Amino acid sequence: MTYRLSILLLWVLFLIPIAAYSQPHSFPQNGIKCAYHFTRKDDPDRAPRKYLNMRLDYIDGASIYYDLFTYERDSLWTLAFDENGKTKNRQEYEKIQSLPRPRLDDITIVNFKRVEVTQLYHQGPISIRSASEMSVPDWKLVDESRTIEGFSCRKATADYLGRNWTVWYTEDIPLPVGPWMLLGAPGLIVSAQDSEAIFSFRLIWADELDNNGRIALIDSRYPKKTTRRKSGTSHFVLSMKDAEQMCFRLRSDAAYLLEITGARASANQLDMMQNKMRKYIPLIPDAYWKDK
Amino acid sequence: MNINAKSKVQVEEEGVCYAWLTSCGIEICYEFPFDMGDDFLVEFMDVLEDIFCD
Repeated sequence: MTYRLSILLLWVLFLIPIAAYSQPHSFPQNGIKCAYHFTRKDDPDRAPRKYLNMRLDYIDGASIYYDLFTYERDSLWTLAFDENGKTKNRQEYEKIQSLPRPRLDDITIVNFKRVEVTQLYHQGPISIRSASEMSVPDWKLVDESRTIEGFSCRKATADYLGRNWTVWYTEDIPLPVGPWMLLGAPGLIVSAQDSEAIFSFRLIWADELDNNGRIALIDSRYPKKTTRRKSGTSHFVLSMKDAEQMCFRLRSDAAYLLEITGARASANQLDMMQNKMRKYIPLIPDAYWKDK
Repeated sequence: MNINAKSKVQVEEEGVCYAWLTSCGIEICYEFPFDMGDDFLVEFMDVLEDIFCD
């Protein structure tokens, strides 16, 4: 009897992993890593800018959405410059210059255990941290399905942070995660677009995360107190509203960019800079904050 | 000090340094306090390239 039980137990132990991995897109639920393409328009009438190296890591109740080459740039940065901002390794600095563009500097961390969203922004010598309570979109589940990148997807829509979003999520990976702050759907978000077609996210691949992820490392690069470093770079800790509005001004108001960084230019140079400045449309529209 | 191939920086008078962004066929001169670190100038030029250059 004991012998038969042992044989049965061995068979069960043998079959469980086969059953788990023979399902299409079956992943261990404790850790996944995903690649996304993100596109954004600076001008609704022009072609979008493409960010083709976005990553989403999820492990142990937290996710992080970031650009792989911004992560690599920041890693090289710590090797290239000392704490006073002086070049200490020219070779590492030159590697930074060769990283591909465009790179998205904004990073989103969602901590489901603490019900908290942290946004990390970087605009030249200015960096910003903002942490706020996680708000979950009120997803309306729609009875439509489609297959995207091999995943069985279902549709959902929500008015969220000033835009109307349509997403396709997959219950093949039943995690409430997605790029940026698009969270809380019944499965991983595979595709998302706003109603004005200014922004889009699309999953390219997903795989098991075989390490502890990069959340703690990336998070540690952004201090939790406002600081001005000896080299002249500045870091701010702000509410999400203040952070978003500061970013909007840094990316659309040349005089503000110069003022906040301490740089100066002649009136003619400033005019030229403002006229040539690329338009900037934020994921959360500026108008959203007016009555907040 | 050359920050990178697309910009140049030099000290012209005490306490002030000037940086020229020459990317994308435009040249803009900025004035910075002299004690700015290399990292600051690289970051500043980097963001200007991102603003002006596709």
